[in-house]
Amino acid sequence: MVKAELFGKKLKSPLIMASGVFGYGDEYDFIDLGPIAAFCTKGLSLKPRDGNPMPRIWETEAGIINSVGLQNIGVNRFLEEKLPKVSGLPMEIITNFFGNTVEEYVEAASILSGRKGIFALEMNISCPNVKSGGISFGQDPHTVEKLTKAVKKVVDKPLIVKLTPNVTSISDIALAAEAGGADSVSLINTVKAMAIDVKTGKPVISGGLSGRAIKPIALKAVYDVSRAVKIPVIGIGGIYTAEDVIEFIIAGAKAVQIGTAIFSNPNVAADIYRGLMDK
Amino acid sequence: MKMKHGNPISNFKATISAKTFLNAGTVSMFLKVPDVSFAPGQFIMLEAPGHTLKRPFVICSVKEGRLRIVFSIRGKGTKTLSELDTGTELDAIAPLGNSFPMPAKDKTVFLIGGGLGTVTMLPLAGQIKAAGIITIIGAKNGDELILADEFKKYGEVLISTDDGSCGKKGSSIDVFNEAVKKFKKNECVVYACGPNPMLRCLAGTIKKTGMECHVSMEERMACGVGACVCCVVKTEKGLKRSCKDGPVFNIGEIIW
Ligand SMILES: Cc1cc2nc3c(=O)[nH]c(=O)nc-3n(C[C@H](O)[C@H](O)[C@H](O)COP(=O)(O)OP(=O)(O)OC[C@H]3O[C@@H](n4cnc5c(N)ncnc54)[C@H](O)[C@@H]3O)c2cc1C
Ligand SMILES: Cc1cc2nc3c(=O)[nH]c(=O)nc-3n(C[C@H](O)[C@H](O)[C@H](O)COP(=O)(O)O)c2cc1C
Ligand code: FES
Repeated sequence: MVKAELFGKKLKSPLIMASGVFGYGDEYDFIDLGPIAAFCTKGLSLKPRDGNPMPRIWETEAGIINSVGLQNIGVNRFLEEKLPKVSGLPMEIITNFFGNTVEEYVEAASILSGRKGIFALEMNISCPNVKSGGISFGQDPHTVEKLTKAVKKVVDKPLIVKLTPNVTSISDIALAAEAGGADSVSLINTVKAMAIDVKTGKPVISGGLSGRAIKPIALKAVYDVSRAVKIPVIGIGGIYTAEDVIEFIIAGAKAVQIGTAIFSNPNVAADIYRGLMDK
Repeated sequence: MKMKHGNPISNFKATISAKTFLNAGTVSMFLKVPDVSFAPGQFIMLEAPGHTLKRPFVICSVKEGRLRIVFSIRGKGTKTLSELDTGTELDAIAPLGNSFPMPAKDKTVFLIGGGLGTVTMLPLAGQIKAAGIITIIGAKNGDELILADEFKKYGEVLISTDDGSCGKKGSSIDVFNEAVKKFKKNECVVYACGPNPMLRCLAGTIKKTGMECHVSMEERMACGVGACVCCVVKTEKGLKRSCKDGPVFNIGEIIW
Protein backbone atom coordinates (compact mmCIF):
# COMPACT_ATOMS: atom_id res chain seq x y z
CA MET A 1 0.00 0.00 0.00
CA VAL A 2 2.90 2.36 0.49
CA LYS A 3 4.41 2.12 -2.98
CA ALA A 4 3.15 4.05 -5.93
CA GLU A 5 4.15 4.91 -9.45
CA LEU A 6 3.12 7.79 -11.68
CA PHE A 7 4.24 8.52 -15.23
CA GLY A 8 6.81 5.71 -15.12
CA LYS A 9 8.45 7.06 -11.99
CA LYS A 10 8.52 5.13 -8.72
CA LEU A 11 7.27 7.27 -5.83
CA LYS A 12 8.13 6.68 -2.19
CA SER A 13 4.44 6.75 -1.26
CA PRO A 14 1.04 7.48 -2.80
CA LEU A 15 0.81 10.66 -0.69
CA ILE A 16 0.79 14.09 -2.37
CA MET A 17 0.03 17.40 -0.65
CA ALA A 18 -2.86 19.16 -2.41
CA SER A 19 -2.75 22.58 -4.03
CA GLY A 20 -3.54 25.58 -1.83
CA VAL A 21 -2.76 24.11 1.58
CA PHE A 22 1.01 23.76 1.15
CA GLY A 23 1.94 27.19 -0.24
CA TYR A 24 4.95 26.93 -2.52
CA GLY A 25 6.50 24.17 -0.44
CA ASP A 26 8.72 26.32 1.77
CA GLU A 27 6.46 26.90 4.79
CA TYR A 28 6.24 23.41 6.26
CA ASP A 29 9.94 23.09 7.03
CA PHE A 30 9.12 21.83 10.54
CA ILE A 31 7.30 18.62 9.58
CA ASP A 32 8.49 15.19 8.51
CA LEU A 33 8.64 15.53 4.71
CA GLY A 34 10.07 12.02 4.32
CA PRO A 35 6.85 10.16 3.49
CA ILE A 36 5.49 12.84 1.15
CA ALA A 37 5.94 11.77 -2.48
CA ALA A 38 5.12 15.16 -3.98
CA PHE A 39 3.42 18.46 -3.30
CA CYS A 40 1.25 20.65 -5.52
CA THR A 41 2.00 24.36 -5.47
CA LYS A 42 -0.68 26.95 -4.85
CA GLY A 43 -2.45 27.60 -8.18
CA LEU A 44 -0.18 29.77 -10.35
CA SER A 45 -1.36 32.22 -12.98
CA LEU A 46 0.50 34.12 -15.67
CA LYS A 47 0.37 37.34 -13.62
CA PRO A 48 0.28 37.60 -9.80
CA ARG A 49 -3.24 37.82 -8.34
CA ASP A 50 -4.61 39.38 -5.15
CA GLY A 51 -7.58 37.09 -4.68
CA ASN A 52 -10.76 37.74 -2.71
CA PRO A 53 -11.53 39.99 0.26
CA MET A 54 -11.81 38.62 3.81
CA PRO A 55 -13.18 36.42 5.24
CA ARG A 56 -11.55 33.74 3.15
CA ILE A 57 -12.21 30.82 5.42
CA TRP A 58 -15.25 29.53 7.28
CA GLU A 59 -15.55 26.45 9.44
CA THR A 60 -18.61 24.27 8.87
CA GLU A 61 -19.93 21.18 10.66
CA ALA A 62 -17.55 18.81 8.91
CA GLY A 63 -15.18 20.86 6.84
CA ILE A 64 -14.30 24.35 5.71
CA ILE A 65 -15.41 26.73 3.01
CA ASN A 66 -12.63 28.76 1.43
CA SER A 67 -12.77 31.71 -0.91
CA VAL A 68 -9.08 32.55 -1.23
CA GLY A 69 -9.77 33.46 -4.84
CA LEU A 70 -6.53 32.02 -6.17
CA GLN A 71 -4.20 34.66 -4.72
CA ASN A 72 -0.72 33.76 -5.97
CA ILE A 73 2.66 35.20 -6.87
CA GLY A 74 2.47 34.28 -10.56
CA VAL A 75 4.51 31.75 -12.55
CA ASN A 76 7.58 33.95 -13.01
CA ARG A 77 8.11 34.85 -9.37
CA PHE A 78 7.53 31.20 -8.47
CA LEU A 79 10.30 30.11 -10.82
CA GLU A 80 12.71 32.84 -9.68
CA GLU A 81 12.11 32.95 -5.93
CA LYS A 82 10.54 29.69 -4.83
CA LEU A 83 11.63 26.90 -7.15
CA PRO A 84 15.36 27.19 -6.29
CA LYS A 85 14.42 27.08 -2.58
CA VAL A 86 12.23 23.98 -2.79
CA SER A 87 14.12 22.03 -5.45
CA GLY A 88 16.33 20.47 -2.82
CA LEU A 89 13.44 19.12 -0.73
CA PRO A 90 12.87 15.35 -0.72
CA MET A 91 9.56 15.62 -2.62
CA GLU A 92 8.60 15.90 -6.26
CA ILE A 93 7.17 19.27 -7.29
CA ILE A 94 3.87 19.50 -9.13
CA THR A 95 3.04 23.00 -10.33
CA ASN A 96 -0.68 23.70 -10.20
CA PHE A 97 -1.73 26.43 -12.63
CA PHE A 98 -4.80 28.13 -14.07
CA GLY A 99 -5.97 30.93 -16.33
CA ASN A 100 -9.05 32.84 -17.33
CA THR A 101 -8.58 32.29 -21.08
CA VAL A 102 -7.14 29.43 -23.13
CA GLU A 103 -4.26 31.74 -24.06
CA GLU A 104 -3.44 32.40 -20.41
CA TYR A 105 -3.44 28.68 -19.64
CA VAL A 106 -1.17 27.95 -22.61
CA GLU A 107 1.26 30.74 -21.79
CA ALA A 108 1.51 29.83 -18.11
CA ALA A 109 2.03 26.17 -19.02
CA SER A 110 4.73 26.96 -21.56
CA ILE A 111 6.64 29.05 -19.01
CA LEU A 112 6.53 26.17 -16.50
CA SER A 113 7.37 23.57 -19.11
CA GLY A 114 10.98 22.62 -19.62
CA ARG A 115 11.95 23.80 -16.13
CA LYS A 116 14.26 21.42 -14.33
CA GLY A 117 12.96 20.29 -10.98
CA ILE A 118 9.29 20.22 -11.92
CA PHE A 119 7.85 16.70 -11.95
CA ALA A 120 4.45 17.40 -13.49
CA LEU A 121 1.93 20.13 -14.17
CA GLU A 122 -1.54 20.09 -12.64
CA MET A 123 -4.12 22.13 -14.52
CA ASN A 124 -6.96 23.55 -12.41
CA ILE A 125 -9.98 23.83 -14.69
CA SER A 126 -12.41 25.05 -12.02
CA CYS A 127 -11.86 28.68 -13.04
CA PRO A 128 -14.33 30.92 -14.82
CA ASN A 129 -13.79 31.25 -18.55
CA VAL A 130 -14.09 34.99 -19.10
CA LYS A 131 -14.79 34.51 -22.80
CA SER A 132 -17.87 32.39 -22.18
CA GLY A 133 -19.56 34.48 -19.55
CA GLY A 134 -17.72 33.09 -16.56
CA ILE A 135 -18.84 29.44 -16.76
CA SER A 136 -15.93 27.38 -15.52
CA PHE A 137 -13.73 25.65 -18.11
CA GLY A 138 -14.21 22.38 -16.30
CA GLN A 139 -17.98 22.29 -16.82
CA ASP A 140 -18.03 21.65 -20.54
CA PRO A 141 -16.44 18.50 -22.05
CA HIS A 142 -15.81 20.16 -25.40
CA THR A 143 -13.93 23.09 -23.78
CA VAL A 144 -11.95 20.69 -21.58
CA GLU A 145 -10.79 18.66 -24.57
CA LYS A 146 -9.78 21.77 -26.52
CA LEU A 147 -8.00 23.35 -23.57
CA THR A 148 -6.14 20.13 -22.72
CA LYS A 149 -5.02 19.72 -26.34
CA ALA A 150 -3.79 23.32 -26.53
CA VAL A 151 -1.83 23.02 -23.29
CA LYS A 152 -0.48 19.56 -24.08
CA LYS A 153 1.07 20.97 -27.26
CA VAL A 154 3.35 23.29 -25.30
CA VAL A 155 4.36 21.09 -22.36
CA ASP A 156 6.97 18.37 -22.27
CA LYS A 157 6.00 17.13 -18.81
CA PRO A 158 3.18 14.94 -17.58
CA LEU A 159 -0.06 16.93 -17.49
CA ILE A 160 -2.60 16.23 -14.76
CA VAL A 161 -6.03 17.76 -15.29
CA LYS A 162 -7.72 18.59 -11.98
CA LEU A 163 -11.48 18.15 -12.16
CA THR A 164 -14.27 20.07 -10.48
CA PRO A 165 -17.13 18.07 -8.92
CA ASN A 166 -19.56 20.87 -9.77
CA VAL A 167 -20.73 19.15 -12.97
CA THR A 168 -23.47 16.78 -14.08
CA SER A 169 -21.18 13.95 -15.18
CA ILE A 170 -17.59 14.06 -13.99
CA SER A 171 -16.78 10.94 -16.05
CA ASP A 172 -17.63 12.81 -19.27
CA ILE A 173 -15.23 15.59 -18.27
CA ALA A 174 -12.52 13.05 -17.44
CA LEU A 175 -13.01 11.36 -20.82
CA ALA A 176 -12.67 14.75 -22.51
CA ALA A 177 -9.41 15.44 -20.67
CA GLU A 178 -8.13 12.00 -21.70
CA ALA A 179 -9.14 12.63 -25.31
CA GLY A 180 -7.28 15.95 -25.17
CA GLY A 181 -4.10 14.10 -24.17
CA ALA A 182 -4.06 14.41 -20.37
CA ASP A 183 -1.61 12.04 -18.68
CA SER A 184 -3.72 11.84 -15.54
CA VAL A 185 -6.77 13.34 -13.86
CA SER A 186 -6.94 14.44 -10.23
CA LEU A 187 -10.24 14.83 -8.41
CA ILE A 188 -12.06 16.38 -6.72
CA ASN A 189 -11.58 20.10 -6.34
CA THR A 190 -13.80 21.85 -3.76
CA VAL A 191 -17.59 21.63 -3.83
CA LYS A 192 -19.52 24.91 -4.25
CA ALA A 193 -20.85 26.03 -0.89
CA MET A 194 -22.04 28.95 1.23
CA ALA A 195 -22.50 29.92 4.87
CA ILE A 196 -25.14 32.29 6.22
CA ASP A 197 -25.02 34.38 9.36
CA VAL A 198 -28.46 34.38 10.98
CA LYS A 199 -27.63 37.51 12.97
CA THR A 200 -27.11 39.65 9.88
CA GLY A 201 -29.36 37.57 7.64
CA LYS A 202 -26.65 37.58 4.97
CA PRO A 203 -24.20 35.13 3.45
CA VAL A 204 -20.80 35.43 5.13
CA ILE A 205 -18.88 33.41 2.58
CA SER A 206 -19.43 31.81 -0.79
CA GLY A 207 -16.69 29.47 -1.94
CA GLY A 208 -15.57 25.86 -2.02
CA LEU A 209 -16.16 23.17 0.60
CA SER A 210 -13.37 20.77 1.53
CA GLY A 211 -12.52 18.35 4.31
CA ARG A 212 -14.34 15.37 5.82
CA ALA A 213 -17.72 16.47 4.47
CA ILE A 214 -16.70 15.84 0.86
CA LYS A 215 -15.03 12.43 1.19
CA PRO A 216 -18.06 10.38 0.12
CA ILE A 217 -18.62 12.70 -2.85
CA ALA A 218 -14.96 12.33 -3.85
CA LEU A 219 -15.00 8.53 -3.46
CA LYS A 220 -17.97 8.20 -5.79
CA ALA A 221 -16.34 10.51 -8.34
CA VAL A 222 -13.05 8.58 -8.21
CA TYR A 223 -14.90 5.26 -8.51
CA ASP A 224 -16.82 6.39 -11.57
CA VAL A 225 -13.93 8.14 -13.31
CA SER A 226 -11.54 5.21 -12.71
CA ARG A 227 -13.93 2.99 -14.61
CA ALA A 228 -14.31 5.49 -17.45
CA VAL A 229 -10.68 6.38 -18.30
CA LYS A 230 -7.43 4.49 -18.78
CA ILE A 231 -5.09 7.21 -17.50
CA PRO A 232 -4.18 7.17 -13.79
CA VAL A 233 -6.62 8.80 -11.39
CA ILE A 234 -5.42 10.77 -8.36
CA GLY A 235 -7.99 10.85 -5.55
CA ILE A 236 -8.60 14.00 -3.47
CA GLY A 237 -11.19 14.95 -0.88
CA GLY A 238 -11.40 14.67 2.88
CA ILE A 239 -8.48 12.30 3.35
CA TYR A 240 -7.38 12.18 7.01
CA THR A 241 -6.30 8.60 7.71
CA ALA A 242 -4.62 5.52 6.21
CA GLU A 243 -8.07 3.95 6.07
CA ASP A 244 -9.29 6.85 3.91
CA VAL A 245 -6.34 6.35 1.54
CA ILE A 246 -7.13 2.65 1.19
CA GLU A 247 -10.75 3.46 0.38
CA PHE A 248 -9.61 5.75 -2.45
CA ILE A 249 -7.20 3.11 -3.75
CA ILE A 250 -9.99 0.54 -3.74
CA ALA A 251 -12.15 3.05 -5.62
CA GLY A 252 -9.44 3.15 -8.30
CA ALA A 253 -6.96 5.89 -7.35
CA LYS A 254 -3.27 5.36 -8.13
CA ALA A 255 -2.24 8.11 -5.70
CA VAL A 256 -3.99 10.56 -3.41
CA GLN A 257 -3.75 14.18 -2.34
CA ILE A 258 -4.17 15.49 1.18
CA GLY A 259 -5.57 18.99 1.66
CA THR A 260 -7.62 20.28 4.58
CA ALA A 261 -6.35 17.57 6.96
CA ILE A 262 -3.00 19.36 7.21
CA PHE A 263 -4.75 22.20 9.05
CA SER A 264 -5.58 19.95 11.97
CA ASN A 265 -2.37 17.92 11.79
CA PRO A 266 0.71 19.27 10.00
CA ASN A 267 2.25 15.80 10.16
CA VAL A 268 -0.82 14.08 8.72
CA ALA A 269 1.14 12.59 5.80
CA ALA A 270 3.71 10.99 8.09
CA ASP A 271 0.95 9.64 10.34
CA ILE A 272 -0.94 8.21 7.36
CA TYR A 273 2.26 6.65 6.04
CA ARG A 274 2.83 4.89 9.33
CA GLY A 275 -0.77 3.71 9.21
CA LEU A 276 -0.29 2.31 5.71
CA MET A 277 2.85 0.43 6.78
CA ASP A 278 0.82 -1.31 9.48
CA LYS A 279 -1.93 -2.43 7.10
CA MET B 1 13.11 46.30 13.04
CA LYS B 2 11.43 43.16 14.32
CA MET B 3 12.67 41.32 17.36
CA LYS B 4 14.29 37.97 16.95
CA HIS B 5 11.75 35.15 17.18
CA GLY B 6 11.72 32.34 19.70
CA ASN B 7 12.83 28.87 18.73
CA PRO B 8 11.67 27.43 15.39
CA ILE B 9 8.07 26.39 14.82
CA SER B 10 7.17 22.93 15.98
CA ASN B 11 4.15 20.68 16.08
CA PHE B 12 3.63 19.01 19.46
CA LYS B 13 1.16 17.68 22.02
CA ALA B 14 0.17 20.11 24.77
CA THR B 15 -1.48 18.76 27.91
CA ILE B 16 -3.88 20.91 29.92
CA SER B 17 -2.33 21.19 33.37
CA ALA B 18 -4.56 23.85 34.92
CA LYS B 19 -7.68 25.76 34.04
CA THR B 20 -9.34 28.65 35.89
CA PHE B 21 -12.21 30.92 34.97
CA LEU B 22 -11.29 34.63 35.30
CA ASN B 23 -14.98 35.42 34.86
CA ALA B 24 -17.99 33.54 33.46
CA GLY B 25 -16.68 33.77 29.91
CA THR B 26 -12.90 33.92 30.22
CA VAL B 27 -10.49 31.07 30.86
CA SER B 28 -6.88 31.11 31.93
CA MET B 29 -5.27 27.83 30.89
CA PHE B 30 -1.84 26.33 31.47
CA LEU B 31 -0.54 23.76 29.02
CA LYS B 32 2.35 21.41 29.59
CA VAL B 33 4.55 21.77 26.51
CA PRO B 34 7.96 20.63 25.32
CA ASP B 35 10.69 23.26 25.06
CA VAL B 36 8.99 26.32 23.54
CA SER B 37 10.42 29.81 23.72
CA PHE B 38 8.62 32.86 22.39
CA ALA B 39 8.70 36.62 22.00
CA PRO B 40 5.74 38.87 22.94
CA GLY B 41 3.18 38.93 20.13
CA GLN B 42 3.73 35.35 19.01
CA PHE B 43 0.89 32.85 19.19
CA ILE B 44 -0.03 29.18 19.36
CA MET B 45 -2.50 27.28 17.14
CA LEU B 46 -4.38 24.91 19.41
CA GLU B 47 -6.65 22.00 18.53
CA ALA B 48 -10.29 22.44 19.52
CA PRO B 49 -11.41 18.79 19.65
CA GLY B 50 -14.09 17.95 17.08
CA HIS B 51 -13.37 21.02 14.96
CA THR B 52 -11.60 21.18 11.59
CA LEU B 53 -9.46 24.22 12.33
CA LYS B 54 -7.06 24.99 15.14
CA ARG B 55 -7.67 28.19 17.12
CA PRO B 56 -5.03 30.94 17.44
CA PHE B 57 -4.20 32.27 20.92
CA VAL B 58 -1.51 34.63 22.07
CA ILE B 59 1.22 33.05 24.19
CA CYS B 60 1.04 34.87 27.53
CA SER B 61 4.03 33.23 29.15
CA VAL B 62 6.10 30.06 29.19
CA LYS B 63 7.57 29.08 32.52
CA GLU B 64 9.03 25.72 33.52
CA GLY B 65 7.48 23.97 30.55
CA ARG B 66 4.03 25.46 31.16
CA LEU B 67 2.57 27.72 28.51
CA ARG B 68 -0.25 30.04 29.46
CA ILE B 69 -3.14 31.23 27.32
CA VAL B 70 -6.13 33.36 28.31
CA PHE B 71 -9.20 33.14 26.14
CA SER B 72 -12.77 34.31 25.94
CA ILE B 73 -15.55 31.92 25.03
CA ARG B 74 -16.70 33.20 21.67
CA GLY B 75 -18.06 30.37 19.54
CA LYS B 76 -18.05 26.60 19.37
CA GLY B 77 -14.33 25.93 19.55
CA THR B 78 -13.55 28.09 22.55
CA LYS B 79 -16.66 26.64 24.27
CA THR B 80 -15.30 23.13 23.71
CA LEU B 81 -11.86 24.15 24.98
CA SER B 82 -13.33 25.73 28.11
CA GLU B 83 -15.06 22.45 28.99
CA LEU B 84 -12.01 20.19 28.72
CA ASP B 85 -10.54 18.56 31.82
CA THR B 86 -6.96 18.87 32.95
CA GLY B 87 -4.90 16.06 31.49
CA THR B 88 -6.47 16.42 28.03
CA GLU B 89 -3.88 16.27 25.26
CA LEU B 90 -4.21 18.74 22.39
CA ASP B 91 -2.35 19.05 19.12
CA ALA B 92 -0.54 22.39 18.89
CA ILE B 93 1.81 24.42 16.70
CA ALA B 94 4.00 27.17 18.16
CA PRO B 95 5.60 29.65 18.33
CA LEU B 96 3.98 31.37 15.36
CA GLY B 97 4.15 34.78 13.75
CA ASN B 98 6.44 37.72 14.27
CA SER B 99 6.66 39.70 17.49
CA PHE B 100 6.53 43.24 18.85
CA PRO B 101 9.70 45.31 18.40
CA MET B 102 10.93 46.28 21.87
CA PRO B 103 11.01 49.98 22.82
CA ALA B 104 14.12 51.94 23.81
CA LYS B 105 14.57 51.91 27.60
CA ASP B 106 13.91 55.64 28.01
CA LYS B 107 10.43 55.56 26.46
CA THR B 108 7.06 55.52 28.12
CA VAL B 109 5.01 52.67 26.79
CA PHE B 110 1.26 52.65 26.20
CA LEU B 111 -0.39 49.24 26.02
CA ILE B 112 -3.94 49.45 24.67
CA GLY B 113 -6.11 46.35 24.77
CA GLY B 114 -9.67 46.17 23.54
CA GLY B 115 -11.75 43.13 24.59
CA LEU B 116 -9.77 39.91 24.19
CA GLY B 117 -6.99 41.95 22.56
CA THR B 118 -6.03 42.82 26.14
CA VAL B 119 -4.47 39.36 26.43
CA THR B 120 -1.97 40.25 23.70
CA MET B 121 -0.60 43.07 25.84
CA LEU B 122 0.17 40.76 28.79
CA PRO B 123 3.44 39.20 27.59
CA LEU B 124 4.61 42.64 26.49
CA ALA B 125 3.96 44.11 29.93
CA GLY B 126 6.00 41.30 31.45
CA GLN B 127 9.02 41.68 29.19
CA ILE B 128 9.27 45.39 28.42
CA LYS B 129 11.98 47.48 30.07
CA ALA B 130 10.92 51.10 29.77
CA ALA B 131 10.65 54.40 31.65
CA GLY B 132 7.03 53.57 32.43
CA ILE B 133 4.12 51.41 31.33
CA ILE B 134 0.58 52.76 31.07
CA THR B 135 -2.01 50.10 30.26
CA ILE B 136 -5.39 51.04 28.89
CA ILE B 137 -8.03 48.32 28.95
CA GLY B 138 -11.31 48.65 27.10
CA ALA B 139 -14.28 46.35 27.63
CA LYS B 140 -18.01 46.26 26.91
CA ASN B 141 -18.82 46.39 30.62
CA GLY B 142 -17.34 45.72 34.04
CA ASP B 143 -18.21 42.02 33.91
CA GLU B 144 -16.19 41.48 30.74
CA LEU B 145 -13.19 43.43 31.97
CA ILE B 146 -10.20 41.09 32.27
CA LEU B 147 -6.66 41.10 33.58
CA ALA B 148 -6.70 44.59 35.15
CA ASP B 149 -5.06 43.31 38.37
CA GLU B 150 -2.29 41.54 36.48
CA PHE B 151 -1.35 44.71 34.62
CA LYS B 152 -1.21 46.74 37.85
CA LYS B 153 2.06 44.94 38.69
CA TYR B 154 3.69 46.75 35.78
CA GLY B 155 2.39 50.31 36.13
CA GLU B 156 -0.63 52.49 35.85
CA VAL B 157 -3.88 50.94 34.54
CA LEU B 158 -6.66 53.02 32.96
CA ILE B 159 -10.03 51.46 32.24
CA SER B 160 -12.84 52.28 29.87
CA THR B 161 -16.16 50.52 29.34
CA ASP B 162 -18.79 51.07 26.68
CA ASP B 163 -21.54 51.41 29.31
CA GLY B 164 -19.51 53.20 31.98
CA SER B 165 -20.00 50.37 34.50
CA CYS B 166 -16.27 50.47 35.24
CA GLY B 167 -13.66 53.19 34.66
CA LYS B 168 -14.41 55.87 32.06
CA LYS B 169 -17.45 55.53 29.85
CA GLY B 170 -16.37 55.44 26.23
CA SER B 171 -13.64 53.88 24.17
CA SER B 172 -10.10 52.98 25.10
CA ILE B 173 -8.88 55.29 22.34
CA ASP B 174 -10.63 58.29 23.97
CA VAL B 175 -8.80 57.44 27.18
CA PHE B 176 -5.54 57.11 25.28
CA ASN B 177 -6.00 60.44 23.50
CA GLU B 178 -6.43 62.12 26.85
CA ALA B 179 -3.54 60.36 28.61
CA VAL B 180 -1.03 60.86 25.81
CA LYS B 181 -1.40 64.66 25.89
CA LYS B 182 1.22 64.86 28.64
CA PHE B 183 3.90 63.42 26.35
CA LYS B 184 5.92 64.55 23.37
CA LYS B 185 5.71 62.21 20.39
CA ASN B 186 9.30 60.96 20.76
CA GLU B 187 8.83 60.08 24.40
CA CYS B 188 6.45 57.18 23.92
CA VAL B 189 5.76 53.99 21.99
CA VAL B 190 2.26 52.64 21.57
CA TYR B 191 1.21 48.97 21.35
CA ALA B 192 -2.36 47.91 20.70
CA CYS B 193 -4.60 44.95 19.98
CA GLY B 194 -8.36 44.86 19.68
CA PRO B 195 -11.27 44.90 17.27
CA ASN B 196 -10.59 46.48 13.86
CA PRO B 197 -12.79 49.58 14.44
CA MET B 198 -10.77 50.38 17.57
CA LEU B 199 -7.45 50.01 15.74
CA ARG B 200 -8.72 52.04 12.81
CA CYS B 201 -9.64 54.83 15.22
CA LEU B 202 -6.19 54.61 16.81
CA ALA B 203 -4.60 54.81 13.36
CA GLY B 204 -6.26 58.21 12.92
CA THR B 205 -4.72 59.55 16.14
CA ILE B 206 -1.30 58.13 15.37
CA LYS B 207 -1.30 59.62 11.90
CA LYS B 208 -1.81 63.06 13.42
CA THR B 209 0.84 62.73 16.13
CA GLY B 210 3.42 60.63 14.25
CA MET B 211 4.09 58.39 17.24
CA GLU B 212 5.66 54.94 16.95
CA CYS B 213 2.82 52.38 17.11
CA HIS B 214 2.63 48.63 16.62
CA VAL B 215 -0.60 46.68 16.44
CA SER B 216 -1.49 43.00 16.42
CA MET B 217 -4.19 42.04 13.90
CA GLU B 218 -6.83 39.38 14.42
CA GLU B 219 -7.77 37.48 11.29
CA ARG B 220 -9.34 34.08 10.77
CA MET B 221 -6.64 31.49 10.18
CA ALA B 222 -6.42 28.00 8.75
CA CYS B 223 -2.78 26.88 8.59
CA GLY B 224 -1.19 29.48 10.88
CA VAL B 225 2.17 29.05 9.15
CA GLY B 226 1.90 31.11 5.97
CA ALA B 227 0.86 28.41 3.50
CA CYS B 228 -2.81 29.03 2.70
CA VAL B 229 -3.15 32.86 2.41
CA CYS B 230 -6.47 32.76 4.26
CA CYS B 231 -5.44 35.46 6.77
CA VAL B 232 -4.20 38.36 4.69
CA VAL B 233 -4.13 42.01 5.70
CA LYS B 234 -3.99 44.89 3.20
CA THR B 235 -0.82 46.92 3.66
CA GLU B 236 1.05 49.56 1.72
CA LYS B 237 3.44 46.83 0.60
CA GLY B 238 0.60 44.63 -0.69
CA LEU B 239 -1.22 41.74 0.95
CA LYS B 240 0.54 40.33 4.00
CA ARG B 241 -0.23 37.07 5.81
CA SER B 242 -1.12 37.95 9.38
CA CYS B 243 0.05 34.54 10.65
CA LYS B 244 3.52 34.77 9.14
CA ASP B 245 4.37 38.35 8.13
CA GLY B 246 2.29 39.48 11.17
CA PRO B 247 0.28 39.42 13.37
CA VAL B 248 2.27 42.51 14.42
CA PHE B 249 2.34 45.41 11.97
CA ASN B 250 3.38 49.02 12.14
CA ILE B 251 0.03 50.79 12.29
CA GLY B 252 1.03 53.13 9.45
CA GLU B 253 1.45 50.19 7.06
CA ILE B 254 -2.14 48.99 7.30
CA ILE B 255 -4.70 50.06 4.72
CA TRP B 256 -8.03 50.17 6.59
C1 LIG C 1 -3.03 35.89 16.37
C2 LIG C 1 -4.29 35.77 17.19
C3 LIG C 1 -4.21 35.70 18.57
C4 LIG C 1 -5.36 35.59 19.34
N1 LIG C 1 -5.24 35.53 20.68
C5 LIG C 1 -6.32 35.40 21.47
C6 LIG C 1 -6.20 35.31 22.87
O1 LIG C 1 -5.10 35.32 23.42
N2 LIG C 1 -7.33 35.20 23.60
C7 LIG C 1 -8.57 35.16 23.02
O2 LIG C 1 -9.57 35.05 23.72
N3 LIG C 1 -8.70 35.22 21.68
C8 LIG C 1 -7.63 35.35 20.89
N4 LIG C 1 -7.76 35.41 19.53
C9 LIG C 1 -9.11 35.27 18.97
C10 LIG C 1 -9.49 33.78 18.97
O3 LIG C 1 -8.63 33.07 18.10
C11 LIG C 1 -10.95 33.58 18.55
O4 LIG C 1 -11.79 34.16 19.51
C12 LIG C 1 -11.29 32.10 18.41
O5 LIG C 1 -10.58 31.53 17.35
C13 LIG C 1 -12.78 31.90 18.22
O6 LIG C 1 -13.00 30.53 18.08
P1 LIG C 1 -14.42 29.88 18.37
O7 LIG C 1 -14.33 28.46 18.03
O8 LIG C 1 -14.87 30.21 19.71
O9 LIG C 1 -15.37 30.67 17.37
P2 LIG C 1 -16.10 30.13 16.08
O10 LIG C 1 -16.87 31.27 15.57
O11 LIG C 1 -16.80 28.84 16.31
O12 LIG C 1 -14.86 29.86 15.13
C14 LIG C 1 -14.99 29.54 13.78
C15 LIG C 1 -13.68 29.85 13.07
O13 LIG C 1 -13.47 31.25 13.00
C16 LIG C 1 -12.29 31.64 13.67
N5 LIG C 1 -12.53 32.88 14.42
C17 LIG C 1 -13.70 33.28 14.98
N6 LIG C 1 -13.54 34.47 15.59
C18 LIG C 1 -12.25 34.83 15.42
C19 LIG C 1 -11.46 35.96 15.81
N7 LIG C 1 -11.95 36.96 16.54
N8 LIG C 1 -10.15 35.98 15.46
C20 LIG C 1 -9.61 34.98 14.74
N9 LIG C 1 -10.31 33.89 14.35
C21 LIG C 1 -11.60 33.82 14.68
C22 LIG C 1 -11.95 30.47 14.56
O14 LIG C 1 -10.57 30.38 14.84
C23 LIG C 1 -12.44 29.29 13.75
O15 LIG C 1 -11.51 28.97 12.75
C24 LIG C 1 -6.64 35.54 18.72
C25 LIG C 1 -6.73 35.59 17.33
C26 LIG C 1 -5.58 35.72 16.56
C27 LIG C 1 -5.69 35.77 15.08
C1 LIG D 1 -7.47 26.97 1.40
C2 LIG D 1 -7.54 26.13 0.15
C3 LIG D 1 -6.97 26.60 -1.03
C4 LIG D 1 -7.02 25.85 -2.19
N1 LIG D 1 -6.42 26.32 -3.32
C5 LIG D 1 -6.43 25.57 -4.46
C6 LIG D 1 -5.75 26.01 -5.65
O1 LIG D 1 -5.11 27.08 -5.66
N2 LIG D 1 -5.82 25.23 -6.75
C7 LIG D 1 -6.48 24.04 -6.77
O2 LIG D 1 -6.50 23.37 -7.79
N3 LIG D 1 -7.12 23.58 -5.66
C8 LIG D 1 -7.11 24.33 -4.51
N4 LIG D 1 -7.74 23.84 -3.38
C9 LIG D 1 -8.46 22.55 -3.42
C10 LIG D 1 -7.63 21.42 -2.81
O3 LIG D 1 -6.42 21.23 -3.52
C11 LIG D 1 -8.43 20.09 -2.79
O4 LIG D 1 -8.78 19.73 -4.10
C12 LIG D 1 -9.71 20.21 -1.96
O5 LIG D 1 -9.48 20.98 -0.82
C13 LIG D 1 -10.27 18.84 -1.54
O6 LIG D 1 -9.36 18.12 -0.73
P1 LIG D 1 -9.41 18.11 0.90
O7 LIG D 1 -10.82 17.79 1.29
O8 LIG D 1 -8.40 17.10 1.31
O9 LIG D 1 -9.03 19.50 1.30
C14 LIG D 1 -7.70 24.59 -2.20
C15 LIG D 1 -8.27 24.13 -0.99
C16 LIG D 1 -8.20 24.87 0.17
C17 LIG D 1 -8.82 24.34 1.42
S1 FES E 1 -3.50 31.10 8.11
FE1 FES E 1 -2.63 30.16 6.37
S2 FES E 1 -1.45 31.77 5.59
FE2 FES E 1 -2.12 32.58 7.46
